[in-house]
Amino acid sequence: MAAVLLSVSTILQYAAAAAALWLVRRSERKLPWLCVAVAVLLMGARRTITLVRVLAGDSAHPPDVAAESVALLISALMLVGIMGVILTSGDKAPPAGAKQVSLLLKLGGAIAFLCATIWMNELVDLPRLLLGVSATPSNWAEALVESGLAIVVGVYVVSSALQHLSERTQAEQDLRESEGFTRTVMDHLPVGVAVNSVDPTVSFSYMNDSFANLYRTTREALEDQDAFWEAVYEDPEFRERIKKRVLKDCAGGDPQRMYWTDIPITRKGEETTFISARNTPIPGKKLMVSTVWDVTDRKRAEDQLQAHRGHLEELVEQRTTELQRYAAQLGAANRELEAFAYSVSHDLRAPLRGMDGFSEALLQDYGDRLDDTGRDYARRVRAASRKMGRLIDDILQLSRVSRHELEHETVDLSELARAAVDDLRKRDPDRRVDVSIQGGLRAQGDARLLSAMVQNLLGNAWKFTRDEPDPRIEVGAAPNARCGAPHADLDDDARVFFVRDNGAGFDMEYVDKLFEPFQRLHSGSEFSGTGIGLATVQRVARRHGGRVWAQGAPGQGAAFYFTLDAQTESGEEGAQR
Amino acid sequence: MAEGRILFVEDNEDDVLLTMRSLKESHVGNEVDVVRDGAAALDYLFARGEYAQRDVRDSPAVVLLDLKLPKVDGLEVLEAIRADDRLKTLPVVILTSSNEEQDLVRGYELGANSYVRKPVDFGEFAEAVRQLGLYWMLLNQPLPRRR
Repeated sequence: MAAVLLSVSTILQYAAAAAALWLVRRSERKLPWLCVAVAVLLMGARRTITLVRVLAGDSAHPPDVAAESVALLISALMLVGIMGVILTSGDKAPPAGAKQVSLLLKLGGAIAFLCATIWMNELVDLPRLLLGVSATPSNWAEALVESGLAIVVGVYVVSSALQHLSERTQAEQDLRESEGFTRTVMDHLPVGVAVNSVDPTVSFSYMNDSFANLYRTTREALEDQDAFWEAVYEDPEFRERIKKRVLKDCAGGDPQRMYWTDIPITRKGEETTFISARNTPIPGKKLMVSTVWDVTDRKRAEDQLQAHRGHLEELVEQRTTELQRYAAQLGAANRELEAFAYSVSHDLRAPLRGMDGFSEALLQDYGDRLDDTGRDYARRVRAASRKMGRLIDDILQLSRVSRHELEHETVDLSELARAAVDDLRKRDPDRRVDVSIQGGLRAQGDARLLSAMVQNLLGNAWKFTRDEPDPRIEVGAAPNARCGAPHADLDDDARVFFVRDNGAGFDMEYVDKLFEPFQRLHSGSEFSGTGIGLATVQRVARRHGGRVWAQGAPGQGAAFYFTLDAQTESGEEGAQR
Repeated sequence: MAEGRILFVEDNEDDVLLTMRSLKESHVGNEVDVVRDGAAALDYLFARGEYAQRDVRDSPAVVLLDLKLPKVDGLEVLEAIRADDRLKTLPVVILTSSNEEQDLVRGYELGANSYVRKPVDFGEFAEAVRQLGLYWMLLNQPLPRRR
């Protein structure tokens, strides 16, 4: 039985030794673990010697079951302890108190072993041997091993303790160093930091220089919390207000409220600075961290911005008033124009009727008493008055084009052209003119103005083809590049409308005069006309953001092109008569 | 030829002359009374002032009314006519050289029966007067006279 116990404990010893050796490799604290390893190894050796002797049947020292049981227990404990250390060691921080527990275990284990050794009386064998008191050669080996063990254990204990102590001092020193680092940093922060106790009768426990500087006072002046208000805020009234506010905000303990910004610090004779401050309670301890930082630059920039904004608003108001005045003036001018146009339409016409009427009456009632010249005179009077009537109408139309407010709708130019041609045909039923109008010519614009424009252009074409044997008028649209007279300032695919005729045409040398009011390229005897129609056409086109131009040759007809800058839909239906 | 007179309110001498001549040419034989301004027109219709001896109920068959009149404007005259119970059914034809849309609209709004623009061309003017005369004196049915 004892032999079995002995064997098992021996094996356990070696296992523990192996584990300890492994720890030696891994651990930074090699010496203690080396001691442990050697100790355990020696114990293993000791067990082996005993085991050998038992197996050899040495009856001199019969194995003691009790002793062997204890030895087995110790071996098991050792193995468990070392394995425990292995398992709990590693990169993870050991749980709090683990260090202390393991130290206790180690020390306790070592002491226990020491006691056991002494109890087994083997420690005293070596001196006895040395002194020659009693000895058997076989005892030497055991005695040496045991003594070695004891020494090693002692070394271990001492070195462990020493290491632990040094670690402790090291930790304390590290802490002090890191504290010093933090403190140095805080001392030099450009932000003011103060840490004080929540208890109002206790003074600040920490304050950095910036704190006092930013509050424009000295550290000494901020000895206690009451002195703070006096030292920082010069103006008593402001002081009371800010003190009340801060204390109120702090009373609730809500960190969100403990934030004050853009607080002015005034000093007589000096510029005011602005600070923002925040109090942060440290949870768990009755401490408050007060931070203060300078916002003078920001405040100045904000004030400047505000001033600029105000100035800008002022400017805008001024401009608006100016614009409103101009608009009013414009409105007044327009109304004057309207009144003028109205009086023109009424007052100027009346005498014309008289001229026309009486000359006709003269012809009718007294024609037989006039000679040819006399009748001719009367006829001329009539013609002149009629012409004046047309002039008045045209001028009125031109003025209406200018002052009329533009409507914006989709207008069918083809339809307008058809209506104009119908009108012309009605007034001149004897004339046969071949008119082809491209269908679906839609444009965005003012229907009335565009109608006037189309009537003028077609009226002209109608008039100037009067002497043509085979008169033809064409109305359509094409991309600028292919319209027959592309305009240099337009894109190739810009939409160009045209009215072409094969009538009298005009000399291109005078093309610039075409669109001026009252300018005519033909005398009144050749073709009647007021010379205003094309000026109206140009004005309509311009008001729509477009332009007109013309091309022609004497005796070879004329073509008038125009654009209306607004968006147009494409109209590609077939040509219509 | 229907009975009844025509009241012609026109300040322009020439227009009066030409209109009368045209009416005569068209064989519109009814009597034509001419007044030269709006105030006179109202005096005539309401039988006051120099027309105090007239009978209000003896209103003309039709009034040819110009718009631009001295003293009282044509549209004001129209308004006054339409405001009076005795005269509100009186046919009024506005005969004016005004081309302005606002006059047209206002004329109808105030209850004119017709709006005719005096053509500049005398031939057309004469024709218009003829047609007016024929229409209002022959074709148009006036209200029966109340005695």
